[in-house]
Amino acid sequence: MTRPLKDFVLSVRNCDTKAQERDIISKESAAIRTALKDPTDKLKHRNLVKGLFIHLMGYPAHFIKSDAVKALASPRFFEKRIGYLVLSVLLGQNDDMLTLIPNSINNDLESGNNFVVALGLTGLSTIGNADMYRTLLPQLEKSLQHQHTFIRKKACLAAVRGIRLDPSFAEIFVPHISGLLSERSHAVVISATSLLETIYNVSPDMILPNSKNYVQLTARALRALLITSSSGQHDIAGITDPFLQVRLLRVLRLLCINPHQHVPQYTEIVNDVLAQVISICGASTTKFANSPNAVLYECVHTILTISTDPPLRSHALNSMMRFFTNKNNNARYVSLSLLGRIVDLDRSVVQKHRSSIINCLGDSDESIRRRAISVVSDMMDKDTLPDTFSTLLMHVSRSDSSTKREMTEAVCQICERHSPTLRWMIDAVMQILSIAGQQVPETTTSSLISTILAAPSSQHFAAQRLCTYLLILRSARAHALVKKREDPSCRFKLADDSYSLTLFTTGTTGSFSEANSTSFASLFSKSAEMGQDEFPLDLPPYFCKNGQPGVHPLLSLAAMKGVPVLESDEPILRVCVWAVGEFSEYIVTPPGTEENGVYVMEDGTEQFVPVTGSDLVDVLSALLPASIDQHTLASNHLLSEIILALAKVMSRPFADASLVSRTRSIIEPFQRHMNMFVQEVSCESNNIADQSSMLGALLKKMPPLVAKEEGRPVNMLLNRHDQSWLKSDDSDDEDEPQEMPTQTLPKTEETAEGDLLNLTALLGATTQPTQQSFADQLASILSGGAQPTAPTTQAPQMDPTEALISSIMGSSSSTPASHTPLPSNSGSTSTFQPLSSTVGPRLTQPLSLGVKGGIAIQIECQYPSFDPSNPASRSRVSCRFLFTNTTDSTISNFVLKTSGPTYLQRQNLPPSGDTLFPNSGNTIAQAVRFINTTEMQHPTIFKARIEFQRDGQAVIEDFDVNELPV
Amino acid sequence: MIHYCFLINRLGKCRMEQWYDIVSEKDQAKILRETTALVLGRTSKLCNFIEYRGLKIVYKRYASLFFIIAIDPTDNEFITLEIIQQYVESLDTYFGSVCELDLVFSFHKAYYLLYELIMSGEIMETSKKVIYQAMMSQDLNEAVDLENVPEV
Repeated sequence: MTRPLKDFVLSVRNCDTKAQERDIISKESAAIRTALKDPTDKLKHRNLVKGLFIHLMGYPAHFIKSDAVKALASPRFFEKRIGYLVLSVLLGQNDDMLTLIPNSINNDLESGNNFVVALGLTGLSTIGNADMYRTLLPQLEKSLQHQHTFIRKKACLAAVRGIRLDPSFAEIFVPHISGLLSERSHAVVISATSLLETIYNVSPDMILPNSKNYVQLTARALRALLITSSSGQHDIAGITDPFLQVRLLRVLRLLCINPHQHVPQYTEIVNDVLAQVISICGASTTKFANSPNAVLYECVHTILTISTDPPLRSHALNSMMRFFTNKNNNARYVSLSLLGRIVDLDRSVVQKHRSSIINCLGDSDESIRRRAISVVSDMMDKDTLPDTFSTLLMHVSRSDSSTKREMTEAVCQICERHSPTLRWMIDAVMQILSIAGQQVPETTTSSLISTILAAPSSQHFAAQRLCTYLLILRSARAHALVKKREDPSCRFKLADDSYSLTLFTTGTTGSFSEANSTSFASLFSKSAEMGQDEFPLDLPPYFCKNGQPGVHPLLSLAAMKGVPVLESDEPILRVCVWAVGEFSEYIVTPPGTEENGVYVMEDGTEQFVPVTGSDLVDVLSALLPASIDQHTLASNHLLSEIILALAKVMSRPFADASLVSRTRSIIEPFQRHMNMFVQEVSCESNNIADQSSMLGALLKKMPPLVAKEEGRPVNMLLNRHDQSWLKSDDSDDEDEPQEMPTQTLPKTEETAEGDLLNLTALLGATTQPTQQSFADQLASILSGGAQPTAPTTQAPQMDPTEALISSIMGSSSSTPASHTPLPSNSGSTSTFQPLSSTVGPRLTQPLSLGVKGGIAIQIECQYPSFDPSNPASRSRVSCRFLFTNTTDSTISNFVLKTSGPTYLQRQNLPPSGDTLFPNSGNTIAQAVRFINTTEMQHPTIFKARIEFQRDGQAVIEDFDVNELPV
Repeated sequence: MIHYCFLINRLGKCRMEQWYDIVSEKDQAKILRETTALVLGRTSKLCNFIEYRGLKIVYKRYASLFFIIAIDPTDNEFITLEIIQQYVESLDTYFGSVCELDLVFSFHKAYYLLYELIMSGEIMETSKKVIYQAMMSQDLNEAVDLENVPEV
């Protein structure tokens, strides 16, 4: 005989350590198992409860399942009751045991003992699956007509569960709804409303034809509740059965929500009863209690959803606002939910309380903040957004980490959807970026960029505006750095926008106390007040030295070297750098003359300080690290975008030869950058600059995007401007369409010097029929996984450049020779000519790949089945590398790594050693097997890296294998 | 519709869990863990509602125990608080000023009581009296059968 549950629980509770607890539980489990094996044991119920306790403690107790199933068939009520409980808690939906149960439940449903029937129904609702329900449907239907309400209510809810599992059961229960709804028992009526709602959810067509009847029954039941003087049994805080009232109100809403269901006489009945409910609940909410509020809340929701009676609606609204102004957090949360639900039905009401709703964004309660975010995003439109935007921004900047991202995303979405003009959108997005840069979803910046691209008339404005943002931001950072150097004890942080930006708005003598994070906003609202809507670069004037000629103070600060790029600035910088590169001709001041310290352009407009292309190059290059090895917070993606922007600046008409050569000298070192993508972009830019005739065409301003739409919402602004440009699906569309052609450009001599193998150079030599898809593959290889693949589908839109690109790609024979740079390995095609005429396995002579870092490298190839007439036979090859040390010092920890295009399967075999003795003392051999999955449609080419230690220093050398010996 | 109910104590120990949805065991453990963390992380002044995984969690603290119910976002939060209150009052009547230990030693009774109040994720019985009577009658039924057999 095992010990009682109480003793067992006590001993578990008295455990000091987890180990003790485990020990006791495993011993008890063993005891329970033994006891359960004895069929004569009278304590089965006790053992089952203890097993259940073990399960609730989180220990395995599945061994009691089969005994629980047996207990269902027991004639003794206490065993049956425990058996159902154990199975309800323990059994999963697809448990094998489920097949053993229906028969027991069937017997129980037909039992003469009401409590046994009730157990059976409860068990069915907790463990039943669709199959079990199907078997037991007749018994369940019979239970619905049971003489006892105790059974009817349970049968009703068991049916609810069945319909959720399989909606086809609904039709069996529909005929019973009316009868159940008109019963006197509250429990049966409330269960019937659940049944009605569940069926309505799965198939409204079964309910709607009869809805008048249901409305009548529901209204009658509701009125009966209102008339009943407090009966005590169902009374809570002076309200008769709030549970039932809430359900009935909910059902009324459901049934009357369809306009065609409005039949005058019933509308009257419904309005009448709703008015009664609201007056009774409204009267008793003087003291805050849940039940009157629950009914009032449900009633207000129903009235605002279905009623058209003006006095009733206004009464409901007043009641709701009482909630909203309540100090109780629960009431405020609930009223916000309600506002969120009616925002589509009644915009004006919600707008009336706009400011209070927006204030909830700054609430201390996270739940209320979240709710407010969703209401705010639903209620905004283009008329209200400009007025409320600064408040929204303030809340974004003040929000804590739990909701910051959500809030930022919501505000970004609102801006994307409801910006009144493009100009407004630019400022708005910039301000969000300045406050919550890294929280801003990439879709927002890409949407801004595609919107700018699609609206050529606004590009001039956009360019100047974005350039100004860049200058202000960088100047602020530079200024902060200078201050920090002057006074190291200064407490502000470099990233503190509020400090440094306010510095500019208030002047150096101004007070810093009014610093706030919306300083960008205030900055530009000031300039707007001054009527300078066009916002040329010499704005805002308080940056200028009273019209004195010379370099613009913003420009000189922004071009300061050594100012770090903060991680948080990166999103805003990426947009601005793109704009400066793409639209530099709009930013550079046209030619003019200087008069009395004021620069006058040819068209007569005045500007304090001219901006030159050289200034732009200075500002952009200040973002780059001083040397390529220097650690910088700027990501490689940003670096490559800056380089691309520089390349664009030098390609524009205003750039003279000195500017081009200066820019190239800035770009040049990055050809040896560690990151392949940065290297790639700088190599390309440099090579394009070599071909001066191509410079303008290749880096030309991008035409408006005609993008593919892939399930993303169309930008509302674009719609409003009635333009067919859609969003690009790529978040990096600011530069990719331009990168695309350049990526497929062949390289010249730089790659031969070879910091890294450049596959494009190799490919220039072989004309491929599947150029397009191959370019895709290349892009994915070259981007090193970190960059998204360039959207090649945009190529057809690049008309002027297209011809050039295709000529460079070598598919057209009519290309002028001068436009086709000679690839470094132009002779490589000849190596594919078979040199031997034997068929079968073939081992080649070793081929020297030169000396890298003092290591002589040779390669020999073994083809398992070589056929000189069939190039595809070379798709399987085993390359054996031979390394010898030509230096005077020993080399240790030698490792060979290889990488190649995706179509190449590689397998590195183990090397013969990892130490190379000096002066060619020994040789390390290592084989690498390749399978070319394209059957030599594409050449077997790859790059390799050797890493080793020499004199205690780690050395890394890269080399490329672009032809294999045959 | 109610999707699940938990009863956890101040230290995060689960005293009772009931699921009305089909949820895998792994997800059950995860939801229980995350919900517990969310509820215990809130101070008493904040509202009793949390949005979680597309559902609304309504919770209320009584002494050292938190009663947690997850409902649909469109459901009435106040009435859910009232359901919790109804359950607690029923426990109180049944056990006679209930405390956490009652729920530890007689956890199966707490389940039985819940089954009388809520079924298939919907509230079933709105009268505390009926719930109490049903519990008592069934206990009597058990006692008749038990006769000479010891209790659990």
